[in-house]
Amino acid sequence: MEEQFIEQTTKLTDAQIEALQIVKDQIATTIDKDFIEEITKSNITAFSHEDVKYRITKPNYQDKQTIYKERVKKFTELLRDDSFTLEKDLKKLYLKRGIDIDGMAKKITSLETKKEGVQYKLGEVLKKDGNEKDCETYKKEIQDIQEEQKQLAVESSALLEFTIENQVMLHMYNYMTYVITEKEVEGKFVKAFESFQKFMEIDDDALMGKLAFIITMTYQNAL
Amino acid sequence: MEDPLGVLRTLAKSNYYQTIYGSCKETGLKIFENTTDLTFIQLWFLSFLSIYSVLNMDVAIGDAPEKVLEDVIYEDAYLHFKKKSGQKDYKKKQDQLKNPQRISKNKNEVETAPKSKWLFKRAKD
Repeated sequence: MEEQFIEQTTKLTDAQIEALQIVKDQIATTIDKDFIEEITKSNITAFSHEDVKYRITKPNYQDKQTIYKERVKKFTELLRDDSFTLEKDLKKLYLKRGIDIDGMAKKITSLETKKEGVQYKLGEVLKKDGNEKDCETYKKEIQDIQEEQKQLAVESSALLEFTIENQVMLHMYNYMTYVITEKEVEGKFVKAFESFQKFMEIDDDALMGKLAFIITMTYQNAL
Repeated sequence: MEDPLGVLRTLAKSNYYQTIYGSCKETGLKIFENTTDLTFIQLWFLSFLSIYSVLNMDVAIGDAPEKVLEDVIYEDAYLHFKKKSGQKDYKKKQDQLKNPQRISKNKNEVETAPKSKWLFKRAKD
């Protein structure tokens, strides 16, 4: 069972990769520089999608309480479900298979220190004379370190995707989106979705992608 | 999709937003529609505005070459160097204040004995 779990968590099927690409493309067409500038201007984000005007506002105290209760409920529910594992237990499982997640985190930190060392040298050169050759060499070194850090972060995050903690976080983002999204009906803004169930049943990747993007960029600090 | 933080940096670096940021204290111009309850992206944007304000100022007074603004990697590296060398200078000054007799160093950074010594003698009865 352990092997099967690790197999499932580390490999994406071709269909999953294709589906992810479609969602990515749909999001890419709707989220551009102007859209990012627009959501930066105010803490209330409004946008139109298929002739419906949506609005996302900051969660108030009551919203936060509702979201927190849902968080506790989901965490308890997943804790009772044997098919999900806590992060620390999953890390132990991976370690048995020779995958050291904590080691990856340490590597990322040590790469950061290494990067800062190169940044210092590059900064010094820039301040001194801006020697083109030295600048390019250091820049390339920094790019390589950043790429390595990115690869490790993506790998580690993919490996830990199915932990209870991550699933709860994912659920919270969805739940918060459901709680704070409104739509305009006859000149008034009302809750956009009748229930959380209805929200989860929406088959519109472009809308979901846009909402997910806005929530992540605006209120991820509210969770 | 463009990297959202990359887009924010570009916006913060622009003349338009730098002008607003530079003059908002004096003129009361607003960067955002809201003045409280800032969102995550607004906090990032403010931080980038501040970074580019520092960089532009350093370039303007000749502390940093214009080349710094050519690439985000150069910008980050210059700011990191500025922060670290500033910390070094601060630490050096603090050490000097704590141990004033150790401040004497020659050109080769080798510590030398203090130039003068006061000798106190007990007054004879």
